Amino acid sequence: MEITLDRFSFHYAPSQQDVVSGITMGIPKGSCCAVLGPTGAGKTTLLLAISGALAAHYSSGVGEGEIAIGPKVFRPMPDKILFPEVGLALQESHLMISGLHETVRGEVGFSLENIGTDTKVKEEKIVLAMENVGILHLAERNPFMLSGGELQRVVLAALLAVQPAVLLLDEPSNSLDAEATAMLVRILRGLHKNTTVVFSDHQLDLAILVADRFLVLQDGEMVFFGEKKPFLKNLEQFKGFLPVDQWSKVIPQLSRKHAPHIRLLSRLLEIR
Amino acid sequence: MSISAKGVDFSYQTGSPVLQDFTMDLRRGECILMVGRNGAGKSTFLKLLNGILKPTKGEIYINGRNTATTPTSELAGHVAVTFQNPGDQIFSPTVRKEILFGPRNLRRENAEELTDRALTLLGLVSKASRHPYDLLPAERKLLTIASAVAMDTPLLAFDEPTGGLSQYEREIISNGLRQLKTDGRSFFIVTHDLDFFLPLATQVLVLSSGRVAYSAPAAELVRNAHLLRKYGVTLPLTTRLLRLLEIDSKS
Repeated sequence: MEITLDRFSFHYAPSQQDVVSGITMGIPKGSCCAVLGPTGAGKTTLLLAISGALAAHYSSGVGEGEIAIGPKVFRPMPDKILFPEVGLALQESHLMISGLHETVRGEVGFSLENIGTDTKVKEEKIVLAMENVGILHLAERNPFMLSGGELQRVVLAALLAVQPAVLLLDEPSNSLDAEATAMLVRILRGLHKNTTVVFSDHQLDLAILVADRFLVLQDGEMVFFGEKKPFLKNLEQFKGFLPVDQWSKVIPQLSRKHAPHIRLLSRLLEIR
Repeated sequence: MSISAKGVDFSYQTGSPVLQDFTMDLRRGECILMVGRNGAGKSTFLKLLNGILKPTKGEIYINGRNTATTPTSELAGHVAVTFQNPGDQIFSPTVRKEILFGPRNLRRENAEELTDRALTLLGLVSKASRHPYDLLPAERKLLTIASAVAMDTPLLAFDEPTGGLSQYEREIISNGLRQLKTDGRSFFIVTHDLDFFLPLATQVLVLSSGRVAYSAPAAELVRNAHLLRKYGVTLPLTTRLLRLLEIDSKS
Protein backbone atom coordinates (compact mmCIF):
# COMPACT_ATOMS: atom_id res chain seq x y z
CA MET A 1 0.00 0.00 0.00
CA GLU A 2 1.12 3.51 -0.75
CA ILE A 3 1.87 5.73 2.24
CA THR A 4 1.41 9.49 1.93
CA LEU A 5 1.99 12.14 4.56
CA ASP A 6 0.71 15.64 4.02
CA ARG A 7 2.12 18.37 6.28
CA PHE A 8 2.04 15.94 9.18
CA SER A 9 3.09 17.36 12.56
CA PHE A 10 2.87 15.98 16.09
CA HIS A 11 3.74 16.97 19.65
CA TYR A 12 3.26 14.78 22.73
CA ALA A 13 1.57 17.36 24.98
CA PRO A 14 -0.27 20.64 24.23
CA SER A 15 2.47 22.88 25.67
CA GLN A 16 5.36 21.07 23.97
CA GLN A 17 7.15 21.69 20.70
CA ASP A 18 6.54 19.59 17.59
CA VAL A 19 8.48 16.31 17.61
CA VAL A 20 7.84 15.94 13.89
CA SER A 21 6.93 18.99 11.91
CA GLY A 22 5.36 19.50 8.48
CA ILE A 23 6.38 16.15 6.95
CA THR A 24 5.17 15.75 3.37
CA MET A 25 6.22 12.67 1.43
CA GLY A 26 4.89 9.80 -0.64
CA ILE A 27 6.18 6.23 -0.48
CA PRO A 28 4.88 4.19 -3.42
CA LYS A 29 3.45 0.70 -2.91
CA GLY A 30 6.24 -1.89 -2.61
CA SER A 31 8.92 0.70 -1.88
CA CYS A 32 11.41 0.49 0.96
CA CYS A 33 12.02 3.77 2.75
CA ALA A 34 14.83 4.38 5.24
CA VAL A 35 14.16 7.02 7.89
CA LEU A 36 17.50 8.39 9.01
CA GLY A 37 18.53 11.00 11.53
CA PRO A 38 20.10 11.54 14.93
CA THR A 39 18.51 10.62 18.26
CA GLY A 40 15.45 12.74 18.92
CA ALA A 41 14.93 13.59 15.25
CA GLY A 42 11.43 12.08 15.31
CA LYS A 43 12.06 8.74 13.58
CA THR A 44 10.24 6.55 16.12
CA THR A 45 7.37 9.03 16.46
CA LEU A 46 6.82 8.95 12.71
CA LEU A 47 6.69 5.13 12.63
CA LEU A 48 4.32 5.07 15.61
CA ALA A 49 2.05 7.61 13.88
CA ILE A 50 1.77 5.54 10.70
CA SER A 51 1.09 2.34 12.69
CA GLY A 52 -1.76 3.91 14.64
CA ALA A 53 0.00 3.32 17.96
CA LEU A 54 0.73 7.02 18.50
CA ALA A 55 -2.91 8.15 18.63
CA ALA A 56 -3.93 4.96 20.45
CA HIS A 57 -1.37 5.31 23.25
CA TYR A 58 -0.65 9.04 23.55
CA SER A 59 -4.06 10.58 24.02
CA SER A 60 -2.61 13.93 25.14
CA GLY A 61 -0.64 14.24 21.90
CA VAL A 62 -1.64 16.78 19.27
CA GLY A 63 -1.37 16.05 15.56
CA GLU A 64 -1.94 18.06 12.39
CA GLY A 65 -2.06 17.30 8.69
CA GLU A 66 -2.91 13.87 7.33
CA ILE A 67 -1.59 10.36 6.79
CA ALA A 68 -2.98 8.18 3.99
CA ILE A 69 -2.33 4.45 3.86
CA GLY A 70 -3.56 2.92 0.61
CA PRO A 71 -7.06 4.27 -0.06
CA LYS A 72 -7.68 5.25 3.57
CA VAL A 73 -7.05 8.85 4.60
CA PHE A 74 -6.62 9.62 8.30
CA ARG A 75 -6.77 13.16 9.69
CA PRO A 76 -4.37 13.76 11.27
CA MET A 77 -3.36 10.08 11.73
CA PRO A 78 -4.82 6.60 12.27
CA ASP A 79 -6.54 6.57 15.69
CA LYS A 80 -6.25 2.83 16.25
CA ILE A 81 -3.55 0.24 15.66
CA LEU A 82 -3.84 -0.95 12.06
CA PHE A 83 -2.56 -4.51 12.64
CA PRO A 84 -2.50 -6.80 10.65
CA GLU A 85 -2.49 -4.54 7.55
CA VAL A 86 0.35 -2.58 9.17
CA GLY A 87 2.96 -4.41 11.26
CA LEU A 88 5.27 -2.53 13.63
CA ALA A 89 8.44 -3.78 15.37
CA LEU A 90 9.58 -1.54 18.22
CA GLN A 91 13.21 -0.80 18.89
CA GLU A 92 13.02 -2.56 22.25
CA SER A 93 12.25 -6.16 21.24
CA HIS A 94 11.51 -7.39 24.75
CA LEU A 95 8.48 -5.06 24.84
CA MET A 96 7.05 -6.90 21.84
CA ILE A 97 6.96 -10.33 23.49
CA SER A 98 3.49 -11.23 24.73
CA GLY A 99 4.66 -13.45 27.59
CA LEU A 100 1.66 -15.70 26.92
CA HIS A 101 3.65 -18.45 25.26
CA GLU A 102 6.49 -20.50 26.66
CA THR A 103 8.10 -21.21 23.31
CA VAL A 104 9.34 -19.20 20.36
CA ARG A 105 7.00 -21.25 18.14
CA GLY A 106 4.04 -20.16 20.28
CA GLU A 107 5.16 -16.53 20.30
CA VAL A 108 5.56 -16.42 16.52
CA GLY A 109 2.13 -18.05 16.18
CA PHE A 110 0.48 -15.56 18.54
CA SER A 111 0.23 -12.89 15.85
CA LEU A 112 -1.54 -15.43 13.58
CA GLU A 113 -3.84 -16.51 16.44
CA ASN A 114 -4.87 -12.87 16.83
CA ILE A 115 -6.13 -12.69 13.27
CA GLY A 116 -7.88 -16.06 13.49
CA THR A 117 -5.67 -18.06 11.14
CA ASP A 118 -6.75 -21.66 10.51
CA THR A 119 -4.65 -24.08 12.64
CA LYS A 120 -3.05 -26.04 9.80
CA VAL A 121 -2.21 -22.92 7.80
CA LYS A 122 -0.92 -21.35 11.01
CA GLU A 123 1.61 -24.13 11.61
CA GLU A 124 2.92 -23.82 8.05
CA LYS A 125 3.22 -20.05 8.33
CA ILE A 126 5.01 -20.28 11.68
CA VAL A 127 7.64 -22.64 10.28
CA LEU A 128 8.09 -20.55 7.15
CA ALA A 129 8.51 -17.33 9.13
CA MET A 130 10.99 -18.92 11.54
CA GLU A 131 12.95 -20.38 8.63
CA ASN A 132 12.97 -17.01 6.90
CA VAL A 133 14.78 -15.32 9.80
CA GLY A 134 16.93 -18.33 10.74
CA ILE A 135 15.41 -19.20 14.12
CA LEU A 136 14.05 -22.71 13.49
CA HIS A 137 16.64 -24.04 15.95
CA LEU A 138 15.13 -21.82 18.66
CA ALA A 139 11.53 -23.01 18.10
CA GLU A 140 11.14 -24.78 21.47
CA ARG A 141 13.12 -22.26 23.53
CA ASN A 142 11.55 -19.84 26.00
CA PRO A 143 11.52 -16.33 24.46
CA PHE A 144 12.61 -14.82 27.76
CA MET A 145 15.78 -16.93 27.77
CA LEU A 146 17.00 -15.66 24.41
CA SER A 147 19.74 -13.15 23.67
CA GLY A 148 18.87 -9.65 22.46
CA GLY A 149 19.62 -10.41 18.81
CA GLU A 150 17.68 -13.68 18.88
CA LEU A 151 14.67 -11.94 20.39
CA GLN A 152 14.78 -9.33 17.66
CA ARG A 153 14.51 -12.11 15.08
CA VAL A 154 11.53 -13.66 16.92
CA VAL A 155 9.71 -10.31 16.69
CA LEU A 156 10.49 -10.06 12.98
CA ALA A 157 9.27 -13.64 12.37
CA ALA A 158 5.99 -12.93 14.20
CA LEU A 159 5.42 -9.89 11.99
CA LEU A 160 6.40 -11.56 8.72
CA ALA A 161 4.06 -14.48 9.51
CA VAL A 162 0.99 -12.25 9.11
CA GLN A 163 2.28 -10.76 5.83
CA PRO A 164 1.34 -7.15 6.53
CA ALA A 165 0.95 -4.85 3.51
CA VAL A 166 3.02 -2.26 5.39
CA LEU A 167 5.98 -3.21 7.55
CA LEU A 168 7.37 -0.63 9.98
CA LEU A 169 10.68 -1.48 11.66
CA ASP A 170 12.32 0.72 14.28
CA GLU A 171 16.07 0.16 14.05
CA PRO A 172 15.83 -3.46 12.95
CA SER A 173 19.57 -4.14 12.70
CA ASN A 174 20.47 -2.89 16.18
CA SER A 175 21.53 -6.09 17.97
CA LEU A 176 21.84 -8.38 14.97
CA ASP A 177 25.02 -10.26 14.20
CA ALA A 178 26.53 -10.21 10.70
CA GLU A 179 24.61 -13.27 9.49
CA ALA A 180 21.28 -12.05 10.81
CA THR A 181 21.91 -8.63 9.24
CA ALA A 182 22.62 -10.31 5.89
CA MET A 183 19.39 -12.27 6.37
CA LEU A 184 17.49 -9.05 7.07
CA VAL A 185 18.89 -7.55 3.86
CA ARG A 186 17.72 -10.62 1.93
CA ILE A 187 14.27 -10.51 3.53
CA LEU A 188 13.76 -6.79 2.91
CA ARG A 189 14.96 -7.07 -0.69
CA GLY A 190 12.66 -10.09 -1.17
CA LEU A 191 9.65 -8.19 0.17
CA HIS A 192 9.98 -5.51 -2.47
CA LYS A 193 6.93 -4.94 -4.66
CA ASN A 194 4.49 -6.76 -2.34
CA THR A 195 5.11 -4.98 0.92
CA THR A 196 5.79 -1.32 1.62
CA VAL A 197 8.58 -1.09 4.18
CA VAL A 198 9.55 1.88 6.31
CA PHE A 199 12.45 1.43 8.70
CA SER A 200 14.53 3.74 10.86
CA ASP A 201 18.25 3.44 11.41
CA HIS A 202 21.19 5.31 12.88
CA GLN A 203 23.57 3.61 10.48
CA LEU A 204 23.73 3.82 6.71
CA ASP A 205 24.72 0.27 5.70
CA LEU A 206 21.27 -1.34 5.80
CA ALA A 207 19.69 1.74 4.20
CA ILE A 208 22.11 1.77 1.28
CA LEU A 209 21.69 -1.99 0.76
CA VAL A 210 17.88 -2.12 0.74
CA ALA A 211 16.17 1.25 0.57
CA ASP A 212 14.94 2.99 -2.57
CA ARG A 213 13.60 6.05 -0.73
CA PHE A 214 15.42 8.06 1.93
CA LEU A 215 13.90 10.38 4.50
CA VAL A 216 16.38 12.35 6.60
CA LEU A 217 15.05 14.06 9.72
CA GLN A 218 16.71 16.56 12.00
CA ASP A 219 14.92 18.06 15.02
CA GLY A 220 11.63 16.80 13.62
CA GLU A 221 12.04 18.58 10.28
CA MET A 222 12.44 16.89 6.93
CA VAL A 223 15.96 17.67 5.69
CA PHE A 224 15.75 15.37 2.67
CA PHE A 225 13.29 13.05 1.02
CA GLY A 226 14.06 11.37 -2.25
CA GLU A 227 15.39 8.43 -4.18
CA LYS A 228 18.74 6.74 -3.79
CA LYS A 229 20.82 8.55 -6.40
CA PRO A 230 20.12 12.11 -5.16
CA PHE A 231 20.56 10.88 -1.58
CA LEU A 232 24.01 9.45 -2.33
CA LYS A 233 24.94 12.51 -4.34
CA ASN A 234 24.14 14.75 -1.38
CA LEU A 235 25.74 12.53 1.26
CA GLU A 236 28.28 15.16 2.36
CA GLN A 237 25.42 17.48 3.26
CA PHE A 238 24.45 15.14 6.12
CA LYS A 239 27.91 15.10 7.68
CA GLY A 240 27.78 15.76 11.40
CA PHE A 241 24.45 14.07 12.04
CA LEU A 242 24.63 10.93 9.90
CA PRO A 243 27.65 8.57 9.85
CA VAL A 244 28.60 9.40 6.25
CA ASP A 245 32.41 9.43 6.49
CA GLN A 246 33.10 5.88 5.30
CA TRP A 247 30.45 5.89 2.57
CA SER A 248 31.69 9.27 1.32
CA LYS A 249 35.03 7.55 0.60
CA VAL A 250 33.47 4.46 -0.99
CA ILE A 251 30.83 5.95 -3.29
CA PRO A 252 32.99 8.20 -5.53
CA GLN A 253 35.36 5.27 -6.13
CA LEU A 254 32.52 2.86 -6.87
CA SER A 255 31.10 5.36 -9.33
CA ARG A 256 34.37 5.98 -11.19
CA LYS A 257 36.18 2.67 -11.42
CA HIS A 258 35.67 0.51 -14.45
CA ALA A 259 36.95 -2.94 -13.44
CA PRO A 260 34.12 -5.41 -14.24
CA HIS A 261 33.61 -6.56 -10.63
CA ILE A 262 33.46 -2.99 -9.38
CA ARG A 263 30.90 -2.13 -12.06
CA LEU A 264 28.86 -5.17 -11.07
CA LEU A 265 29.02 -4.21 -7.40
CA SER A 266 27.99 -0.64 -8.20
CA ARG A 267 25.05 -1.93 -10.20
CA LEU A 268 23.99 -4.26 -7.38
CA LEU A 269 24.10 -1.36 -4.95
CA GLU A 270 22.42 0.86 -7.55
CA ILE A 271 25.11 3.46 -7.03
CA ARG A 272 25.82 4.43 -10.64
CA MET B 1 45.56 -9.23 35.76
CA SER B 2 42.17 -7.52 35.66
CA ILE B 3 40.26 -10.58 34.43
CA SER B 4 41.44 -14.16 34.47
CA ALA B 5 38.95 -16.83 33.38
CA LYS B 6 40.14 -20.44 33.52
CA GLY B 7 38.23 -23.38 32.05
CA VAL B 8 34.83 -21.80 32.68
CA ASP B 9 31.69 -23.83 31.98
CA PHE B 10 28.25 -22.34 32.43
CA SER B 11 24.69 -23.56 31.78
CA TYR B 12 21.38 -22.08 32.79
CA GLN B 13 19.23 -24.48 34.84
CA THR B 14 17.51 -25.93 31.82
CA GLY B 15 19.26 -26.30 28.54
CA SER B 16 22.57 -26.91 26.91
CA PRO B 17 25.88 -25.37 28.02
CA VAL B 18 26.28 -21.68 27.20
CA LEU B 19 30.02 -21.49 27.92
CA GLN B 20 32.43 -24.41 27.68
CA ASP B 21 36.04 -24.43 28.80
CA PHE B 22 36.21 -20.67 28.36
CA THR B 23 39.63 -19.23 29.10
CA MET B 24 40.89 -15.67 28.74
CA ASP B 25 43.03 -13.01 30.40
CA LEU B 26 42.72 -9.26 30.35
CA ARG B 27 45.63 -7.20 31.64
CA ARG B 28 45.42 -3.70 33.07
CA GLY B 29 44.99 -1.04 30.40
CA GLU B 30 43.77 -3.48 27.76
CA CYS B 31 40.56 -3.19 25.78
CA ILE B 32 39.19 -6.57 24.71
CA LEU B 33 36.28 -6.93 22.33
CA MET B 34 34.09 -10.01 22.43
CA VAL B 35 32.29 -10.74 19.19
CA GLY B 36 30.23 -13.66 17.91
CA ARG B 37 26.83 -14.76 16.74
CA ASN B 38 23.56 -13.89 18.49
CA GLY B 39 23.18 -16.38 21.33
CA ALA B 40 26.90 -17.34 21.42
CA GLY B 41 27.06 -16.61 25.18
CA LYS B 42 28.52 -13.10 25.12
CA SER B 43 26.02 -11.41 27.45
CA THR B 44 26.09 -14.43 29.77
CA PHE B 45 29.83 -13.96 30.24
CA LEU B 46 29.27 -10.36 31.37
CA LYS B 47 26.86 -11.58 34.04
CA LEU B 48 29.54 -14.01 35.21
CA LEU B 49 32.06 -11.16 35.49
CA ASN B 50 30.19 -9.27 38.20
CA GLY B 51 29.08 -12.40 40.01
CA ILE B 52 25.35 -12.26 39.14
CA LEU B 53 25.90 -15.73 37.69
CA LYS B 54 28.51 -18.19 38.95
CA PRO B 55 30.46 -20.63 36.77
CA THR B 56 29.25 -24.24 36.95
CA LYS B 57 32.91 -25.26 36.49
CA GLY B 58 36.20 -23.36 36.39
CA GLU B 59 37.02 -19.98 37.88
CA ILE B 60 36.93 -16.30 37.08
CA TYR B 61 39.14 -13.85 38.95
CA ILE B 62 38.55 -10.11 38.90
CA ASN B 63 41.63 -8.30 40.22
CA GLY B 64 42.54 -11.53 42.01
CA ARG B 65 39.09 -12.11 43.54
CA ASN B 66 37.24 -15.31 42.74
CA THR B 67 33.79 -14.34 41.48
CA ALA B 68 32.23 -17.51 42.91
CA THR B 69 33.25 -16.73 46.49
CA THR B 70 33.47 -12.91 46.58
CA PRO B 71 30.23 -11.06 47.42
CA THR B 72 28.80 -9.20 44.42
CA SER B 73 28.88 -5.99 46.49
CA GLU B 74 32.67 -6.33 46.76
CA LEU B 75 33.10 -7.25 43.07
CA ALA B 76 31.13 -4.12 42.16
CA GLY B 77 34.06 -2.07 43.44
CA HIS B 78 36.32 -3.68 40.82
CA VAL B 79 34.17 -4.12 37.75
CA ALA B 80 31.18 -2.10 36.56
CA VAL B 81 28.94 -3.84 34.04
CA THR B 82 26.19 -2.44 31.81
CA PHE B 83 23.49 -4.55 30.22
CA GLN B 84 22.22 -4.53 26.67
CA ASN B 85 18.81 -3.27 27.68
CA PRO B 86 19.01 -0.09 29.82
CA GLY B 87 15.57 -0.84 31.31
CA ASP B 88 17.11 -3.78 33.18
CA GLN B 89 19.23 -1.56 35.39
CA ILE B 90 17.57 1.85 35.77
CA PHE B 91 15.42 2.47 38.87
CA SER B 92 16.12 5.94 40.31
CA PRO B 93 13.77 8.93 39.88
CA THR B 94 16.36 11.24 38.29
CA VAL B 95 19.36 10.84 36.02
CA ARG B 96 21.65 12.28 38.68
CA LYS B 97 20.37 9.96 41.42
CA GLU B 98 20.72 7.01 39.08
CA ILE B 99 24.39 7.80 38.49
CA LEU B 100 25.03 8.62 42.15
CA PHE B 101 23.60 5.30 43.32
CA GLY B 102 26.69 3.27 42.38
CA PRO B 103 29.50 5.36 43.89
CA ARG B 104 27.43 6.11 47.02
CA ASN B 105 26.70 2.41 47.57
CA LEU B 106 30.38 1.67 47.13
CA ARG B 107 31.01 4.36 49.78
CA ARG B 108 33.27 6.32 47.43
CA GLU B 109 34.19 9.46 49.40
CA ASN B 110 33.97 11.64 46.29
CA ALA B 111 30.66 10.15 45.08
CA GLU B 112 29.20 13.56 44.16
CA GLU B 113 32.30 14.56 42.23
CA LEU B 114 32.39 11.19 40.41
CA THR B 115 28.75 11.71 39.47
CA ASP B 116 29.44 15.20 38.09
CA ARG B 117 32.39 13.91 36.10
CA ALA B 118 30.34 11.05 34.61
CA LEU B 119 27.49 13.43 33.73
CA THR B 120 29.94 15.67 31.88
CA LEU B 121 31.83 12.82 30.20
CA LEU B 122 28.63 11.29 28.77
CA GLY B 123 27.04 14.63 27.82
CA LEU B 124 24.16 14.32 30.30
CA VAL B 125 24.59 17.51 32.37
CA SER B 126 21.46 19.15 30.92
CA LYS B 127 19.42 16.01 31.64
CA ALA B 128 20.57 15.56 35.26
CA SER B 129 17.21 16.33 36.86
CA ARG B 130 15.08 14.47 34.31
CA HIS B 131 13.41 11.14 35.02
CA PRO B 132 15.38 8.39 33.26
CA TYR B 133 12.21 7.17 31.55
CA ASP B 134 11.68 10.63 30.02
CA LEU B 135 14.94 10.14 28.13
CA LEU B 136 15.14 8.72 24.63
CA PRO B 137 16.43 5.13 24.40
CA ALA B 138 19.85 6.30 23.17
CA GLU B 139 20.15 8.74 26.07
CA ARG B 140 19.20 5.98 28.52
CA LYS B 141 22.08 3.96 27.10
CA LEU B 142 24.45 6.86 27.81
CA LEU B 143 22.98 6.98 31.33
CA THR B 144 23.82 3.31 32.01
CA ILE B 145 27.38 3.92 30.80
CA ALA B 146 27.66 7.05 32.97
CA SER B 147 26.43 5.02 35.96
CA ALA B 148 29.15 2.44 35.37
CA VAL B 149 31.86 5.06 34.84
CA ALA B 150 30.90 6.88 38.08
CA MET B 151 31.58 3.72 40.10
CA ASP B 152 35.27 4.48 39.46
CA THR B 153 36.23 0.84 38.96
CA PRO B 154 39.48 -0.13 37.24
CA LEU B 155 37.53 -2.38 34.85
CA LEU B 156 34.48 -1.47 32.76
CA ALA B 157 32.44 -4.12 30.94
CA PHE B 158 29.79 -3.03 28.45
CA ASP B 159 27.17 -5.03 26.54
CA GLU B 160 26.68 -3.51 23.09
CA PRO B 161 27.27 0.06 24.27
CA THR B 162 26.72 1.60 20.81
CA GLY B 163 23.57 -0.39 19.93
CA GLY B 164 20.88 2.09 18.84
CA LEU B 165 23.12 5.14 19.15
CA SER B 166 23.32 7.86 16.53
CA GLN B 167 26.47 9.59 15.33
CA TYR B 168 26.20 12.21 18.09
CA GLU B 169 26.15 9.72 20.98
CA ARG B 170 28.76 7.54 19.28
CA GLU B 171 31.15 10.48 19.28
CA ILE B 172 30.44 11.12 22.96
CA ILE B 173 31.25 7.48 23.75
CA SER B 174 34.32 7.47 21.56
CA ASN B 175 35.76 10.58 23.26
CA GLY B 176 34.72 9.28 26.69
CA LEU B 177 36.39 5.90 26.24
CA ARG B 178 39.61 7.50 24.96
CA GLN B 179 39.73 9.69 28.03
CA LEU B 180 39.04 6.77 30.39
CA LYS B 181 41.72 4.76 28.60
CA THR B 182 44.34 7.43 29.25
CA ASP B 183 43.26 7.28 32.92
CA GLY B 184 44.39 3.63 32.86
CA ARG B 185 41.00 1.91 32.86
CA SER B 186 40.58 -1.51 31.26
CA PHE B 187 37.62 -2.44 29.06
CA PHE B 188 35.79 -5.60 28.15
CA ILE B 189 33.25 -4.86 25.43
CA VAL B 190 30.65 -7.14 23.86
CA THR B 191 29.76 -5.75 20.46
CA HIS B 192 28.79 -6.27 16.83
CA ASP B 193 30.09 -2.78 16.04
CA LEU B 194 33.64 -3.56 14.92
CA ASP B 195 33.73 -0.42 12.81
CA PHE B 196 33.55 1.66 15.96
CA PHE B 197 35.57 -0.38 18.44
CA LEU B 198 38.47 -1.85 16.45
CA PRO B 199 40.50 1.39 16.64
CA LEU B 200 40.21 1.31 20.45
CA ALA B 201 40.76 -2.41 20.95
CA THR B 202 43.94 -4.22 21.90
CA GLN B 203 42.53 -7.69 21.34
CA VAL B 204 39.48 -9.40 19.87
CA LEU B 205 37.93 -12.65 21.12
CA VAL B 206 35.54 -14.52 18.86
CA LEU B 207 33.06 -16.58 20.84
CA SER B 208 31.44 -19.52 19.10
CA SER B 209 29.27 -22.15 20.80
CA GLY B 210 30.52 -21.03 24.20
CA ARG B 211 34.23 -21.36 23.38
CA VAL B 212 36.92 -18.90 22.33
CA ALA B 213 37.13 -19.84 18.66
CA TYR B 214 39.67 -17.19 17.71
CA SER B 215 41.68 -14.65 19.61
CA ALA B 216 44.04 -12.11 18.08
CA PRO B 217 45.36 -8.57 18.37
CA ALA B 218 42.92 -6.15 16.77
CA ALA B 219 45.24 -5.32 13.84
CA GLU B 220 45.61 -8.99 12.94
CA LEU B 221 41.84 -9.45 12.85
CA VAL B 222 41.53 -7.08 9.89
CA ARG B 223 44.11 -9.09 7.96
CA ASN B 224 42.44 -12.42 8.77
CA ALA B 225 38.88 -11.28 8.27
CA HIS B 226 38.18 -14.15 5.85
CA LEU B 227 38.77 -16.68 8.68
CA LEU B 228 36.04 -15.17 10.80
CA ARG B 229 33.08 -15.70 8.48
CA LYS B 230 32.47 -19.19 9.79
CA TYR B 231 31.93 -17.71 13.27
CA GLY B 232 29.37 -15.25 11.96
CA VAL B 233 31.72 -12.27 12.22
CA THR B 234 32.37 -9.93 9.30
CA LEU B 235 34.09 -6.59 9.05
CA PRO B 236 31.87 -3.58 8.41
CA LEU B 237 30.62 -3.29 4.82
CA THR B 238 32.43 -0.03 4.12
CA THR B 239 35.72 -1.44 5.45
CA ARG B 240 35.36 -4.43 3.11
CA LEU B 241 34.46 -2.23 0.16
CA LEU B 242 37.39 0.11 0.78
CA ARG B 243 39.76 -2.85 0.96
CA LEU B 244 38.35 -4.19 -2.29
CA LEU B 245 38.70 -0.81 -3.99
CA GLU B 246 42.23 -0.37 -2.67
CA ILE B 247 43.25 -3.80 -3.95
CA ASP B 248 41.67 -2.92 -7.27
CA SER B 249 43.61 0.34 -7.58
CA LYS B 250 46.90 -1.49 -6.86
CA SER B 251 46.29 -4.21 -9.40
